Amino acid sequence: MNMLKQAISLWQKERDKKGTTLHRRLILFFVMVTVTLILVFTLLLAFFGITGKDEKAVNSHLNTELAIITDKIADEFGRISLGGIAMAEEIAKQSDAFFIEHGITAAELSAHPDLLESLLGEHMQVLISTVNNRYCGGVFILLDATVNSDSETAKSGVFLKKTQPTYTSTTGVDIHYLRGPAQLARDNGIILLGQWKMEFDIEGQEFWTKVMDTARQNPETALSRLYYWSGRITLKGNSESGFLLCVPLRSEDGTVFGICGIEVSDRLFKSLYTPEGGSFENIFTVMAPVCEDGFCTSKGLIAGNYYLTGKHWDYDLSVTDSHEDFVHLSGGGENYSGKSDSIRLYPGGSPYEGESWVAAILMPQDILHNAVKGNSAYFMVTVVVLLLVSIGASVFISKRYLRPVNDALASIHSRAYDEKKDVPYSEINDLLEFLAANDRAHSEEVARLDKENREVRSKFDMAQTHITHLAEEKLPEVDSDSFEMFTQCLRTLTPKERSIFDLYMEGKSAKEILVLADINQNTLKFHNKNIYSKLGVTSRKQLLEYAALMKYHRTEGEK
Amino acid sequence: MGSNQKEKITMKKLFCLILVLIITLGTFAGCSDSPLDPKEPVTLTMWHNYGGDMQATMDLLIDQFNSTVGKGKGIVINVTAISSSSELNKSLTMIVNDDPGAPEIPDIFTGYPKIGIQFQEKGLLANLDTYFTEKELDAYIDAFVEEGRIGDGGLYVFPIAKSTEVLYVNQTLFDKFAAETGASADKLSTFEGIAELSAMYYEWSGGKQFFGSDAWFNFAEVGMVQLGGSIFEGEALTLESDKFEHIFDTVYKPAVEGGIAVYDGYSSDLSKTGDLVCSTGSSAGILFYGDTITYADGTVENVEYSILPYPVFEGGTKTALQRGGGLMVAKSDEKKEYAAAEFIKWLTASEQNMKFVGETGYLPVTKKAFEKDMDSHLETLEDERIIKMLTSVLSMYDEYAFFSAPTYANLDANSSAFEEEFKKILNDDRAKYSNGETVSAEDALAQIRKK
Repeated sequence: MNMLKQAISLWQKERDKKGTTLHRRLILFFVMVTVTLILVFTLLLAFFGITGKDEKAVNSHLNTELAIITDKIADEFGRISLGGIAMAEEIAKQSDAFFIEHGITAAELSAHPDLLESLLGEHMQVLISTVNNRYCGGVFILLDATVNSDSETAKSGVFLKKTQPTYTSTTGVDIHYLRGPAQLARDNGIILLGQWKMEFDIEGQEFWTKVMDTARQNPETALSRLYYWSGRITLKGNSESGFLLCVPLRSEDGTVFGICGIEVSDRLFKSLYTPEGGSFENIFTVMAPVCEDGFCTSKGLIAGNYYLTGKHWDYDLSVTDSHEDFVHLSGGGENYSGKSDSIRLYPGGSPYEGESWVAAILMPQDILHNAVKGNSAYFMVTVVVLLLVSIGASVFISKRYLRPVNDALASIHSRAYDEKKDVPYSEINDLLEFLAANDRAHSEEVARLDKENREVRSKFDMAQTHITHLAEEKLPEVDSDSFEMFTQCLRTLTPKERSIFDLYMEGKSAKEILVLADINQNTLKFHNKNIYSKLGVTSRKQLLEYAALMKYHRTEGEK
Repeated sequence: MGSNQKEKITMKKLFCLILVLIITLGTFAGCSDSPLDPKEPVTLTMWHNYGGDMQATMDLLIDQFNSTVGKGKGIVINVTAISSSSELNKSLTMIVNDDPGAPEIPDIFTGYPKIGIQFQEKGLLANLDTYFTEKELDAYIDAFVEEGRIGDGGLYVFPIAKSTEVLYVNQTLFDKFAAETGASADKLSTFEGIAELSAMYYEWSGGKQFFGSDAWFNFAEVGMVQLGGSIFEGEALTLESDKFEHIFDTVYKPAVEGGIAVYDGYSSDLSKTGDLVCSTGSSAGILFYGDTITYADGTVENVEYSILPYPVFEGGTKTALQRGGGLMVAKSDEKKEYAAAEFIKWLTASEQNMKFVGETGYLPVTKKAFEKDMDSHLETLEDERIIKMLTSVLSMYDEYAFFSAPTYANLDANSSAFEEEFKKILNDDRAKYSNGETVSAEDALAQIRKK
């Protein structure tokens, strides 16, 4: 910085002293032209939206991704809901037939634990068929009854798990047994999972009470309006979390005797809803219930190539900023940005209609920020580099362009322009030739004048000699007193009179004196009259005689 | 010095400064050898067989990797399938055979060398020798690394965790049985003794099964080695020897009569409902056994399991199977292969390896973990089952020889065919026996030899 200040100060000082040099002026000119061109070019690019920023591309990409994902979610969750309802209707129908066959009502089921395994056995084929033919993490049935009279929270049921959630019967499905009577698994050739337990423990499982209570409170509502989607939940003993579609089981007499449903597991969600990503490797999908101030991601699932997994995301995201382009969220010490849209899981008339869900395509905020910024930094660097290169080029070109001019000027300065023959500019060559011709004419004129001077000097010397001879001849005729008075009275003359007298002494004519003294004729006559009077002479002739005599004396005196 | 000269020097310095600035900006670039970029992470899909109770441990490790080392280096591990090894084998076989509807090959997957060889022969696996230095490989137990060298001798199956086979005994049930019948626990050390106890137990329990094996092929191949033979002849199986006949005869009678379970699933399934007293299986299966029996009426009984060394045929040498597959990396671009190798290095490093071992019952694979860290690690473990397992297995490593099956392309098909046929013959004869039909071990043996 100091160096720059110093340079500017030096330049100003020099400019004030001698004016700006041609070189600087040319550099300035070039720089101004190139900088103006680059700035105009940059402004034009900016005007047409070419600034290196990718905001439009990012926006469009995320909008497309969100539209695809939300459509897929709406389709798949809709299909699963319908599948769950159909399964519940089939199970209820089979159960009603079972109750009639065994002479009991649905309400009396809990009093007949010995019938539970048989009843569940009746439903195995429906469960197996559903799990085989559908993308899901598993299917389950949960009855409001238990074989374990000692436990208040134990409930009989079956939970079939699929380790490859996107496999269907066409590709071969391996079903595992998470809950249910072991014999049913063996009868159907199903392998028990390590976490197998015979019955469910519904303690603290909110979905159970919510679905059962709601179904009981809405006896007239159709099953197609009573299904419920739980937030992310990990059933006790299950190694995997997921959303559970829960449909109440209602017998013909209206008794709600259990629930059945389908699991959208963490891995199923991941395999179905991972965004394509494109150039965004850290993009991910979130689906979650809506909270008061954001997304209830602690109950949501995520899918995508991000470092988090749904299983360990136990915090909610609050919306920090939202405008038409992007939604910004924060939670768990991280900030995310992206696009979101609401998801409608329930039809009109559902008791759960008021529960809102959202799907979002997100990525870490700094990554989105950088993506939006695109390569504008490179763009700016390019412009700056272009500017610097232009300045460098201006300096170089102007220096190269001016070198012959400066050389020519230097040759003029040293009067060696006559020898300068290699100047590439014709104007400068013409100037040099002109100056050389002028010099030659001047030399000739000087020689001529010198000759004339020598001739005049010779004539002058001859005249002086003649005057001296005349003075010597006239000397005896001159009145010595008058001449004495003449010389004495010279000092009485005024400066103007003296200057005119001196001109007479030099041999000037009256006409020449008028011009040399810059006076008119009357003034000369006036001065002549005064000079005659003061010197005691009566005519110009006498004056000139006395003047010549005086000069003769002065010359002789000097000798 | 004139003012003109000073000015020129100042201008030159300024020009140099700008030039240096341009060069610095222009040449601003990274100098790392890694082909990875944290800003553009590589996502690797992974299939593994560490499900059930082991899943939480593996999930935790993968999450830990993703959020620390992976995040720093630009690697994301995305687990897309968690299945049992038999299921994974099925899917992997579909891939390697290019079957219709076969899934896309994952970037990293667990599996045995017998599956790996099929992928390697089709050029689908990355040779991990490229990504590990000799010094790095020297940290792993040589035999485990050697087991992963298949086909052209390259390292295609990287050891992650190893296991052997042991005898699980429901001590609670056995004690009741022994108390009433005088059955000796010593008999559990030989297969002949177990067969004898199976018959006794069947009688005593009123028709319940005593013993089962998770893998009858392993039972046969290890039995042959114990008896000084081999079930392999080149790249095929040979069942013609007397030794095999002895092995077959040992289990045939109790299996047909009902004392030995010939079950399609895992023995732990039967153990959970008290339908089996003891079984041979992978030492890593400890978590599948649980510590309770659930009866059909919903009552749950707490039980205790003992882990005994793998039984030996009478007169045979103490030999057990060295089990446990490894991680394979699909052949891909350098970036993905490099990222996979980075993940494997992290996952098998002593610290992570011991964490995995401590929660699952597997054996570690690095020399440091196996030879130094194990003893101190045992003291920090809380799960009694794991402590019992590791103690028993470590004692086996002092006394037993360990056998690994030779790796050839048809090994998987041969072993699967044997397993299927062995079970079918025993189950068919069992059904016939239950119906009062006559069955004979000789005919059954001839049948399996023929198949």
